[in-house]
Amino acid sequence: MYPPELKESLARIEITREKRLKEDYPRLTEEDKSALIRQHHPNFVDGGMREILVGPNKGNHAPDELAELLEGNSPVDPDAVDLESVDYNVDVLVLGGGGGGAAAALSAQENGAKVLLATKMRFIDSDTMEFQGGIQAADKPNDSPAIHYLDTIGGGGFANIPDLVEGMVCDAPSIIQWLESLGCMFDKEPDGTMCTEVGEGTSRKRVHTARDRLGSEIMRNLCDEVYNRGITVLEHSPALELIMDDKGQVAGAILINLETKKEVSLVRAKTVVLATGGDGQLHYQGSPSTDHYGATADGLVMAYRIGANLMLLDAVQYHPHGVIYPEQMIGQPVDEKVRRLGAKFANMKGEQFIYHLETQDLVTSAIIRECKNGFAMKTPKGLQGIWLDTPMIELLRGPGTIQRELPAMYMELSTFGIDITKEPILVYPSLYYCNGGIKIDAQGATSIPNLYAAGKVCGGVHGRNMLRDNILLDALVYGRRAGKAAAHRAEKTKLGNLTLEHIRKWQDELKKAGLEKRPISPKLVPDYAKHGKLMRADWHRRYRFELRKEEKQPRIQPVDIQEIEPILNKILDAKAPAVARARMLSGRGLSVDNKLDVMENVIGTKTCLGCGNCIDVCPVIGREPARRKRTEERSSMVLETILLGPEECDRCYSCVLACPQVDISIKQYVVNWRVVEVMPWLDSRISEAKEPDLYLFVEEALSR
Amino acid sequence: MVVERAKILEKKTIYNLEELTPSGEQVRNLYPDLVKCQGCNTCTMSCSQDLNVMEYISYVLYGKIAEVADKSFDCMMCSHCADRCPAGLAPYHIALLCRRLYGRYFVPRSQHLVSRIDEIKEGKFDAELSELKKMEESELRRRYSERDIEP
Repeated sequence: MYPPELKESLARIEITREKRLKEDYPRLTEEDKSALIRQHHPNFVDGGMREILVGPNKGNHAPDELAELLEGNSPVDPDAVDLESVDYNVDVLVLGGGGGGAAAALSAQENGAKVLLATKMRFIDSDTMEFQGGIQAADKPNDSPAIHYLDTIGGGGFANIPDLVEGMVCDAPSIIQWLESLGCMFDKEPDGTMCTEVGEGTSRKRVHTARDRLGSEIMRNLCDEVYNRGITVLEHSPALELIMDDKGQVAGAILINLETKKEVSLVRAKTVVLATGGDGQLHYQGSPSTDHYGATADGLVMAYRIGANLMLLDAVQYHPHGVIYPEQMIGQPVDEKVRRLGAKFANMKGEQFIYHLETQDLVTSAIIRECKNGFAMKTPKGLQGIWLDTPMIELLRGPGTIQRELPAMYMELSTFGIDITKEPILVYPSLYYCNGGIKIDAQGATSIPNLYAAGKVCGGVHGRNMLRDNILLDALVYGRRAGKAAAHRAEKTKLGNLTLEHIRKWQDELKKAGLEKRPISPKLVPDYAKHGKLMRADWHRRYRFELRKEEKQPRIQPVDIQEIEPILNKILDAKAPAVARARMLSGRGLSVDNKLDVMENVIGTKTCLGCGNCIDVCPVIGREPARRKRTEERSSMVLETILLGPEECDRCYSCVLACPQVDISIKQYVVNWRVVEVMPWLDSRISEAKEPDLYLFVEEALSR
Repeated sequence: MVVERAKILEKKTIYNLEELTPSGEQVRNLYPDLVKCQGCNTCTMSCSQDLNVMEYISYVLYGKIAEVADKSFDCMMCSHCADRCPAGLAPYHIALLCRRLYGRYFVPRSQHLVSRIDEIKEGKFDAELSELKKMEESELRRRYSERDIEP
């Protein structure tokens, strides 16, 4: 729900929508285009970029925030570290737990190396997990790797490194096959042919998808596979600094425990794969970011300090429309598709200011221009934004289009009470991707011996402009290649003595360049003291405007005992009251029907009614009535909690038989196959007792 | 010293996907605790993605893997359901196993992928690619702007 201060502006948008629908806003001329970009695009305005003053890329341009970190001082004091006490000794150390890191760890292990994976956050948290696009691979008959090559290099402004692009397009089909064998649920035709779509800048239908969550589908499978293969994973353990040996090779890393921020551990590794991800959370020029919380350019900083070459640091890419309200979604990109479907932009006055199908950089510049000129809306947090008028899509293409074409965005915004079929979205350009990074060769090796890199931390694959559906492909291809190369390299490597001499050398270099009192880098966590406004609010502080929609299902059908026999036997064998689980198997009314919602939906479902029959008939409680007094509730859940001790249940199945909601055929089964069997045992139990249990129960019942 | 956090492994079964048989029996054997579900619905209530977790767990009990894969697809592995489950289950791992079995065994494999990989191995595209790699930028630009685009 939009806040009251935006209501006035929303009303204006409503009124002017008709006009905008008819209006054809003129496209920009070539001169206007270049003027607009030079004056307003964040990569070109004054004050955004500066020269790097020290290190291998001295003289190159980089965003201020990144340059500051690259010239930073090390958090490690070389004299204080005892290099003799090594905590982990492995062949390949993978830093980073995203798609690239997981792929590298898996392929290194396949090639016979002992692998350790260390990541700053939880092992699954990464940009890969958040990625909602697709993955390109030229595998259809009318397509070829050569066409994919041309699309990629043309999209990248011809600044890509040819070898890297060749490697990526040639490995793409085998990557898809590998993912398929891991169990990724790609969208497929019934005969197994992949469903492919047109993507950004592609000339063939080549983008593979898995509904609209390809990234998480891939990441959770990779993560599961890493655990299944028994690879050691260290979570919440970012690297502070790489360790070298006296032969000038990389020989491990120093990790820190992020929870205590004190304990440090040393990893001695024959080769290191950097897959630490991007740098979006540095928030260049105060722009929001699409990246996840951990993207703070740690890998770039560590590699730069030991002398690795970086490239194209000034090619930063912005997504023209990231969400700016609600706070929980700041920076999250609205898919480009929304403009292709016909949504146009509107400023405060309800007017268009740019043709809606212009390229990304032009739209970005135009939105920033409007905000500078004071035609923007202000959110309660003080951020500025422009309307992206999504209801126009429904007017143009008929109702239902948005739910069909943009399901994820529709669902996410509707949890905050914003119905994008009726209300526009408030957007602002969002930091999308830094095309720059560590320079690698076609096997993922950097310019430093024994250091490999993969994923967003690398540069050069995408040139100056990345095509969205190539990001994931790049990370997986070079993750696998780097892992393989690192494993082979580790076989041949003999490490010398470990040293941290490179830190002293770096500090000398800083002094020589006249840089003193430098900030500490790598940063590890984003700086929200400075960018507090841009921090995404906690997702779980959302409001639930609608009750969960219950799908209407066919109600009770008779249970086929043959089908459920194995599982029913298991349930009945367990030493616990079986009533709730027997009810779950009753009637196939699976969704609402089995809930312990006592108050709702009582009639005609398999819900627990809270009648307490199961408690009343239970012989264990009958023997010890004091137990029942612990609670006044009478649901089957209570029975389960009272009888939680080991081996307490007599397995008489009285509760199942007494429950009015358990399917009759299950009851029959219980009587025929179970109760008859246990009767002699129950008999002996009753004869052992001084008083028959039943009397106790009756007494208790009368006293109520 | 950094402590290894194997908390996730407490509730996860280690398996080799290649050796599994795609059946409900297999899932139940790998996660025998499934029968401990009390049907309290806490998992559904706590799901951050609004999935009906208890429903798909019921489908696991029935051995309907395709349904589980479909219903649990939006899971983000946040582990809220596992953290709150009074019976100590980890519904999200069970669902992941079902999705992997479904993707690996239930859906037919793509044949065009196999043939394209063979073509690449045979070097069918090598000549064309090496020509493109050596090409001058102006010529590349011309080719790029003149390429035919599939409608």
